[in-house]
Amino acid sequence: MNYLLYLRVYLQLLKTNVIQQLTHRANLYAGILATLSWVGLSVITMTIYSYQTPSIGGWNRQELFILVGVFSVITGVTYTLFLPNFQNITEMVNDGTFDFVLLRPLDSQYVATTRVISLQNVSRIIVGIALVLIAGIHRGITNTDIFLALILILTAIIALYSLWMLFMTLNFYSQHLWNISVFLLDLFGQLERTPGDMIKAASVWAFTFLLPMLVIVNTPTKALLKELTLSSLVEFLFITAVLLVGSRLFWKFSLRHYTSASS
Amino acid sequence: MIIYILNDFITPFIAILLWIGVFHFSPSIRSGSSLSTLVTYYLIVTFFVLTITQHPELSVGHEDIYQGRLSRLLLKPFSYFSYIIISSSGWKTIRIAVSIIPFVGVTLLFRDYIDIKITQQNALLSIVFAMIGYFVIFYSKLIVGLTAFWVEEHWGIVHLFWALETLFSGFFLPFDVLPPFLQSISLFLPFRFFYYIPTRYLLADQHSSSVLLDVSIGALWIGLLVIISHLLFRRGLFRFTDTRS
Repeated sequence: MNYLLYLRVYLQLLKTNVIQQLTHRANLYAGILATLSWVGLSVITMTIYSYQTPSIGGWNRQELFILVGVFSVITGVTYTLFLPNFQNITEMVNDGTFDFVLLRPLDSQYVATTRVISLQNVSRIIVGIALVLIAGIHRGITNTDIFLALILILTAIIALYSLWMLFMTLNFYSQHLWNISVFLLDLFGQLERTPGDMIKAASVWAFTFLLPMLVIVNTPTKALLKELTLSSLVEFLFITAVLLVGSRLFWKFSLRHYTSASS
Repeated sequence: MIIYILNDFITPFIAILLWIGVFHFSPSIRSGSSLSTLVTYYLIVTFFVLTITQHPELSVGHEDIYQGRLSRLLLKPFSYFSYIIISSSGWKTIRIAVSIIPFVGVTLLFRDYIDIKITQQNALLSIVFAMIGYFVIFYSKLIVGLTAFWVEEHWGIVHLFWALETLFSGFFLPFDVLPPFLQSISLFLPFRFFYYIPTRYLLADQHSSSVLLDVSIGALWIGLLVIISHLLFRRGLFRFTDTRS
């Protein structure tokens, strides 16, 4: 595999996307407004929860803001780089235009998930970083914590990407799952304001079902808060590896079920 | 459709789990609400979300105006407003029918936390406020959809509205747990008529003396929203150009 070729292609796509999105600024501003609305809602919600009770499962207000901040960074990067592509996969598979992805002399998963970027979600990243820094100052976060958290955030992005790919690949099997991205966006939006400990205390089976998503959100946050244990780290890395390998194998397997509709 | 129905359950489901988690670690919260009150509240709110929520901001804003379908609908021998109300109600009926089973399932899941005593009077008042809520939701979202006449990419406005709705309508957080300054702000917005007020009257322990006041305010909101929506529609039509159909 010629990695340099893939990198060159990606840089060109990035340049084209940025130029295109900056040309249609009204669209960009509308998207930023939408993004900031939801991030703002998460911050307000956490403020209200911490107003009702000073500590939620051992998480105080600063820690909840750090949770929201970290999750905003993870989803911000993932959604900036991949979200429009996930949504496009659905359309292309249903339209039958996915052929044009398969005809490219590049890996199909790469082509399908890197063509478009979403600049509006950069605002999510900026707000997330600001939240982490502001709340982190009160919490006494050190550079070492930040460094470890950054590595785990990168890992979480890989895990989140793989999780999305698993769901989006289901579109090869059914046309009726075209709005699954809406469901996932809503689900992650809710989990953004949810410490995993709370779900575990509430319901073990719900925690088990939501475990991959909660681990993605909570593990980098715990690293920042100096509460990361070896077992949590191993669990996180294991889940990421399973998601990454699983999503890749599922994608390759599912391509065999793709039937062009019209092109 | 199943995905959209699941969507309606995510918010209250996660909220219930969160509050169960809160009470697991803390015996009480500042607002004084108990866990059973909160869980019952969310289940009732979910019921109202399933029965009275519509999304004309999507059908009107994106499909009719942005995609140009409006030009064909204007040629039909019936009022455009009547059309969107009726088509929205038809879609709602189907969704209610499909949502009953998952709703019963979620209710059974949290049955240990439910504490509800419904009287005939409460049920009647709740139905009245649910009807008011139905029209307040419809016309306020219609207004959001009509902004598409002026703003081509109105998704920012739609999402901002949804975020405000989530915060102030009682969907994600009961009115009682909002800090006082947010409660004050919400008094000047129509959102509390969406889900909070119908739920409050259904769960009220005693007959509230503010029934007449709430009905009057609800009716005023409907009147105001109807007027604004008609005005916006008439002005927007002057600007409308179908470039897509």
